Amino acid sequence: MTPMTLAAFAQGLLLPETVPLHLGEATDAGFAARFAIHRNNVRSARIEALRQGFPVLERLLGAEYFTALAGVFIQQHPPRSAVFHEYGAELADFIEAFPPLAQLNYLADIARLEWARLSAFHAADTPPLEVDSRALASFADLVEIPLCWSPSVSLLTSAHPLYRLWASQVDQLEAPGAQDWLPESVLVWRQGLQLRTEPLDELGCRLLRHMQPGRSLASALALPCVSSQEGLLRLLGLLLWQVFQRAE
Amino acid sequence: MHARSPRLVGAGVAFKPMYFDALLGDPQRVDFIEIHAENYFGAGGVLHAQLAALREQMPLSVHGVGLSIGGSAPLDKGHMQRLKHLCERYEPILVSEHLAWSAHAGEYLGDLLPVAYHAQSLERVAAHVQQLQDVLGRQVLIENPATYLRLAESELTEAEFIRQLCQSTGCGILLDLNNLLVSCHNCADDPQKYLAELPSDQVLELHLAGHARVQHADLELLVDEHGSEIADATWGLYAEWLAHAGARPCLIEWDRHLPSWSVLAAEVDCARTLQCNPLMLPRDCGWGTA
Repeated sequence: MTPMTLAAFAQGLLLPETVPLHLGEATDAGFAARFAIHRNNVRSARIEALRQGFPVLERLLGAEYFTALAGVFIQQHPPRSAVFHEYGAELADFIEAFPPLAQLNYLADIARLEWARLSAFHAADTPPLEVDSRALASFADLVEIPLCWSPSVSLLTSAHPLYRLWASQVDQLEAPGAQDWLPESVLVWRQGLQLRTEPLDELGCRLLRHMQPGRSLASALALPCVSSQEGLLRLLGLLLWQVFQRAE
Repeated sequence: MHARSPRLVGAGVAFKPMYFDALLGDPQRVDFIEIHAENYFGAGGVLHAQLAALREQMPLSVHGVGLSIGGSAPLDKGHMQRLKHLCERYEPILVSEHLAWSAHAGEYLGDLLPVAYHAQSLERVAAHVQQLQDVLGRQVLIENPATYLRLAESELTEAEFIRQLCQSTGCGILLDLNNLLVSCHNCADDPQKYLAELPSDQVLELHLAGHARVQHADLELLVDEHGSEIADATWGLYAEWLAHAGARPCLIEWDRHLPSWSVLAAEVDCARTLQCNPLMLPRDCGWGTA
């Protein structure tokens, strides 16, 4: 197969209504129907990959609209690798700039949240930091050690009630209404093997961001905006959630 | 030339997470499992935890679907390194890829696309297979594709192309009997002639899968779908193969519309039973006269 043949075949797959009839045998009246199987496979594999990665977005949009949206996205942002669970990083920005969805701008944040979950699901395993009630001495040591985020951690801040919107589709909780449409931040990570998604308040976000580049818990507790009791409890909670690992 | 993959027999399944508990609870139920390599290119998480647990109990086959060995572009070195890392991590007993291309101009197309069979493409595919074997440091099996159309520039039969590919690279063959049936139906070829032409001693694994039928005007095409039970005609071809060349590790490939474990395990039983006696098809295989 010459490079030119490959190029003609590939172009036919991606452009509607173009079938490279010259690549088939002259006597094959069914070449277009045969070629259509490959074209459908290419399109459906890409859309299915997005459907797998963004199930809540599909529920919010409806299957038909999601398929149409994905159909436009795959043309503008085709996959660059054969690893389909790494496909869709640009979907959130694409939705944000997609005029028909301009009034539903929370959908881009839903896509960001689902991308964070997909990334966390496949992120590297990290050994948990051992902290329990019987090991207060080790905790005293731990507060001085530089810690950073585990590889699965994403912190999303949204102008919309992002967690409640997402949870309304996953857990059948009540969706937020106009009267309680408040901004929310969401933490996505993997606690061991369990994929977790939880809302996080302002103090939690502040502490987490402080720790991101690799700092000690003691330095977080010394932040001027953190009262010692409240900060300590919140940091303990984050430790038990296993969002930190030792910084290199 | 890399060492030949070990000869095995028995039957296995394409592993999906929903079968994890059943497999771990009764590892003797199958002789091996197979995974799609690219699904395990992530660094960690539950997929790897499950695979590591199963790997302690049973042999593994790693089946690549996206390297685009039949393409004109150089092989993706990053992809090969990830495949190598996966093989080092789980030490699979077999590693396979497809006689197809799936990427062009930096874009992954997500389908196994047909290769034209002639001397020029043979040289290129052989160089790619050799490169992959050198990177992995082992023999690789190459799977015959499901074909929907003939390319006018082909000059060799598929079986002859594969035979020469084995000869020049020392690769093995993953013979997908469903693909063979699908291709022969769609391109009006004779499965028996194909099997006779293929170097049977190079076949080191078999795939069995279900297919779908699609109708376009008066043209009926078979589509390699992996979403249903194995067709009677495919079981028949499997029995013919066993009588002709003997048992090989045989994978039940069911990738969509996944059945319950008991349905899948029954297909494994059929494949195993026929290995013991290919001349007597078991009644519960659904073997008919069609």
